[in-house]
Amino acid sequence: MFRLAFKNAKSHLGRFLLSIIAVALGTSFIIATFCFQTAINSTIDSAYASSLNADLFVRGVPETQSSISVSQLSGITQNRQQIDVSLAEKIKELPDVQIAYPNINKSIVAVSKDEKPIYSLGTIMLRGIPENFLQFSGWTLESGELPQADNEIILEKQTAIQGNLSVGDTTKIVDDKDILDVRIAGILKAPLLAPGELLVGMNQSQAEKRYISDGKVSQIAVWGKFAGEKTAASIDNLRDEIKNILPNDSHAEVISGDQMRQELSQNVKDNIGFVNTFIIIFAIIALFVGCFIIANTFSMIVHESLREYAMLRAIGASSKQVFSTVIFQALVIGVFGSAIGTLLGTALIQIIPLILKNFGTDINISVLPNIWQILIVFAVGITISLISAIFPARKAGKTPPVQAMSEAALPKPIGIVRIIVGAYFLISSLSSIILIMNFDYFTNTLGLHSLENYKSFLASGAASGTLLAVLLLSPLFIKPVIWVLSSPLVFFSRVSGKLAKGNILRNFKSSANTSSALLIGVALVVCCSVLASSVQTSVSSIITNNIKSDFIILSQNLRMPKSVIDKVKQDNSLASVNPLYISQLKINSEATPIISVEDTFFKNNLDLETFSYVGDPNEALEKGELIVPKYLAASQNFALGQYITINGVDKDKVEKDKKTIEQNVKKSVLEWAQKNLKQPDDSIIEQIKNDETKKVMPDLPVVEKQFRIGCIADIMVMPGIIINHKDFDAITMSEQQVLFRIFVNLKAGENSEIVKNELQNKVKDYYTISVLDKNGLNSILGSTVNIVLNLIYGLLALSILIALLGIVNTLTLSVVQRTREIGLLKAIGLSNSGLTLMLGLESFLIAIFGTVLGVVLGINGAVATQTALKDSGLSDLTISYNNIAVFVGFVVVFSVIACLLPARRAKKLPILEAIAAD
Amino acid sequence: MVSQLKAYKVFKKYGKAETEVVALDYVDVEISQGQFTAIMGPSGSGKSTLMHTLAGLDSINSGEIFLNNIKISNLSQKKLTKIRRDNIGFIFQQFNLVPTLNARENITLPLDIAHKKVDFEWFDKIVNIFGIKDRLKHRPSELSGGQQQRVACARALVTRPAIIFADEPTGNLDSKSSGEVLNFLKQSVDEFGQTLVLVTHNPRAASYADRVLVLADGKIIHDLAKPSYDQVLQVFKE
Ligand SMILES: Nc1ncnc2c1ncn2[C@@H]1O[C@H](COP(=O)(O)OP(=O)(O)OP(=O)(O)O)[C@@H](O)[C@H]1O
Ligand SMILES: [Mg+2]
Repeated sequence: MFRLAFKNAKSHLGRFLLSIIAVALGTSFIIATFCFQTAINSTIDSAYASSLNADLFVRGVPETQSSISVSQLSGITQNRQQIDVSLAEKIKELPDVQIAYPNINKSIVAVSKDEKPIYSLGTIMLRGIPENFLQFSGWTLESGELPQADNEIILEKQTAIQGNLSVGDTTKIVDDKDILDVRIAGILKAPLLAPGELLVGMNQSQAEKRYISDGKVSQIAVWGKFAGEKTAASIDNLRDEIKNILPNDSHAEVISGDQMRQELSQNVKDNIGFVNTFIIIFAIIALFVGCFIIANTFSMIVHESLREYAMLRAIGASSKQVFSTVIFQALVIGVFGSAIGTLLGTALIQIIPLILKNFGTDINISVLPNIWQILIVFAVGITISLISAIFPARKAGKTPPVQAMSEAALPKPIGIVRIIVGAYFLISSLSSIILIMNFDYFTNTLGLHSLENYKSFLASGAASGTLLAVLLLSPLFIKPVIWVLSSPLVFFSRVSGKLAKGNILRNFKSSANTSSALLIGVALVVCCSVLASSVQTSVSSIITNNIKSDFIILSQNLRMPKSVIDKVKQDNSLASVNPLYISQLKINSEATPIISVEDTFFKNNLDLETFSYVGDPNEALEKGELIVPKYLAASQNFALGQYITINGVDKDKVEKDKKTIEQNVKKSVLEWAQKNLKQPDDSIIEQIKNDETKKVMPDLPVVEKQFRIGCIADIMVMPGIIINHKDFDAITMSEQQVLFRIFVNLKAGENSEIVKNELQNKVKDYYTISVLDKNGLNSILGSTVNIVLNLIYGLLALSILIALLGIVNTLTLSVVQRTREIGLLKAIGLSNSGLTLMLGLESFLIAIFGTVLGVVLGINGAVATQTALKDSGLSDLTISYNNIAVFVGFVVVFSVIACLLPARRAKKLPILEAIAAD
Repeated sequence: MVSQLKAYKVFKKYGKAETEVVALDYVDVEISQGQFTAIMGPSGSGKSTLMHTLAGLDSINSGEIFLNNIKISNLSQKKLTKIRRDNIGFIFQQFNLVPTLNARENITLPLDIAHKKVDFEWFDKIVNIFGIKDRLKHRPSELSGGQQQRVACARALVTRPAIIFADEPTGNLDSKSSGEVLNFLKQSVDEFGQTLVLVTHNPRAASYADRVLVLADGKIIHDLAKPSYDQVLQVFKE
């Protein structure tokens, strides 16, 4: 019987190859998705292995509620205590420690040779580089030397390439304090970097002087001296040694470098969690599209072979024999298809490093699928091949031969189960949509308040439910839709149009399935693009309607040096300059963003009419009360008039303590001088200062301050609790106050273009600060959305590409099936161009069916999502028909191109042999 | 009588070297207008090959073929397609119809392809002759084998081709339906002066013909004008 299976496959080599291609297409898509995920994860993992490669780290224990520190700010929630710099000296004295030094990591801006900020995926980090860095770090010096003087820096090679900078060049870096003119002393090469990671080094002692203000750091990096091999055990030993010498009150803990790196990469992974979620969704889509293509091709092929099986049965083969022939063939197809698909998918995904390279990252990680992923892909490929083949084969085995022979000619009807399940999805998702559209009626009028919690669930259910319903039911309505779509075609190109229509309707089920693969990709792209443009218009309507200011000044790395304010204020064509500071302070032991504004802020800059609020915002500001955003009030149960407690810094006590410390230091310096009979040098004074600070003020003194909630408002542009600047200043250290925005208004009669240019000139030296009018603000927000979108589009384009290849496959298969018919048409005079036109129209009709449904479903999904998220800020729905039209045009053009390959095959068919074919 | 189709020294072989088969061995033949020519001969004698080459469906190794004084033996495929479309009708042994089109659409298909108008008077006439008037809305799968062949005949006639080739059009039919189809074909020759070349194994069918060519091993061995049934049978026995 296997010989029969083999012969059967051999005589229908074309069909056999096409089904292998179908499986390969489907599985390649899946494997590409897997590889993409592996690539992202392994890039993150391996990157930290090298760029943060100390053996051990000493860091603060997690922050308790009572203590608070300066570091807590900078916009990042860093809930660990700071530790004393002096611990590094102590650790260094251990015999097994090679070196220990405070790890300084500051986000900065560096300027390229052509005076522009160097861009990267994240921010550029500045590191302290100790004298003997090269001996222990594994980094190598490319050229020049390590930085010594205080105006020297060293660049990691990637940064140097990005900035087009070389040794001896002078450039600028901007940190949160100032702009520095620096000379490039050398270029270092890190063994490996994370994607987009850019590093700048500064002499360790210079960096300490510049960035350590109160003798505290967040980390100390430690390298050990190991007698033999460096093993996990030897590192653990060293860790215990260090642990033993840490004072009890140091609030410090020791962890191995591995653990640190693991935590960090987990952090990054959590941060890009949306990417992972997206990839999982994408993998599901991949599976879906893959299955569709495989199952579809198979059903066509098996259907075609039914007559042959019936013939075999008629000449005496048992149904078991027929069945096992089919299964054997399906198995071979599954195995070969999956193997080719694995290779194809792996090849496709090799493009990713090339893309990352464009972002300035050189990753030499080979993204190869692991054994599990390959096994999964094979399992999927084989299982779907088998399932797709089993049902028709069983039927072929069971039905009496003659009946099977005559039935083979008729198209298979749609399964009743399919219709029932589809109808179920359709009805339930339609009712969800009705529910969402009339949500207020149901929740308020009918009192079904508990529905409120399920709104987004309902929305996503409705969107995906309709998608499933349409996928299941599409064979039902492909007939009327194709009738309508094809009528103009039949009118304009009588023969080809009529033939194309007939061919699609003859195999309506497989036509519907082929277009479904396309439908899914199109629906997702349209949904994403509608949502994206809705986000953009929602945001920009807030900007245009709610903001009155002429300009907003902001920095691409969030934090601006305070000196900017003075520079801006020098301009005397301005009517008002209102800086905004932000800080994270604890309320109910939870770090909460607090924004400080001046009393005049609302009057000058916002159109309060356009916001919904309770209480009076202006009055609240003047009285020193808080303005709480609605979402926060809802989640924390804050009510108007309620008092809440903010944990801040007791600045009076800080001032007093500082005076005490100063006096103590003076005293100690004198004592030291008397004892040692010479004046102490800088480092000793520094040491004394640290000791005294530790004695008098081990932690910043905390004050708990009560504030009344004077207003609860829904102000999208202000992402935190708003407070009067005077009150804010009283409970925060200057380092804690992050200047993140400046709102500016012109005097009446000033030309806004001229002033904008003036302002831009003033902040030019900071490199990352921009002066934006409303349009500029809109386009900046738009471009962020676009970056995310492009990633999504890129991957979805792959799914559409594969769906289009699916059309090529189906069409080629149908050309093979119609060999005789095509021969006949050619014999009675259908020209090659007529033939191509016929196939082009078929491809076009299938594609347009999928695309039209996809567009409808995509918009449907976007509308459902928008309705659900209306209250969370997605106020507008914008369907950019232009984008969709361009997109549909693109799919149509490609679908027509898709017919060329099958058409070539049809053209090459010799007439006489085609007619004689069986 | 005017010669519509002339073929001189047509030579056609298949395969190469050891597997070489000479299908047509320097055949000369002329087909006159309005004539019903039957081609007979044992299986493998080259009947189909002769028809295909005369109709421009197949190439020849040497020789010349003229249709209405146009030399078609060395034309490009593109030109041949046009000539076939405008001048030649075909009826194959089976699978003559496009399954997705109904009988009417199948009949008018050659006109549609050539972007020509349907001459309804003519259409009705043919449809009546072939007795398929009430079957026009049916798909091929809903027609019997005989009806399908009659539709195929109607399609071949509808363009008023210069010449119709039919390769065993009744080979799959029982004697009653095959008799019907042949009668209709004969009628079209008599009434409309249609030129017809018919390959057949049926001596009865051949006896309807104005002329019978008998092939053997790629050569014409007999050329009989208006043979009687007995004459045909006589040839058959050889
Ligand atoms: N495509 C081909 N390749 C090789 N040889 C062929 C081909 N077509 C026909 N032949 C050979 O050419 C010779 C003539 O074939 P042809 O089909 O013309 O015979 P025929 O008279 O029509 O026979 P039948 O009555 O069985 O239809 C035969 O020997 C056949 O084997
Ligand atoms: Mg023959």
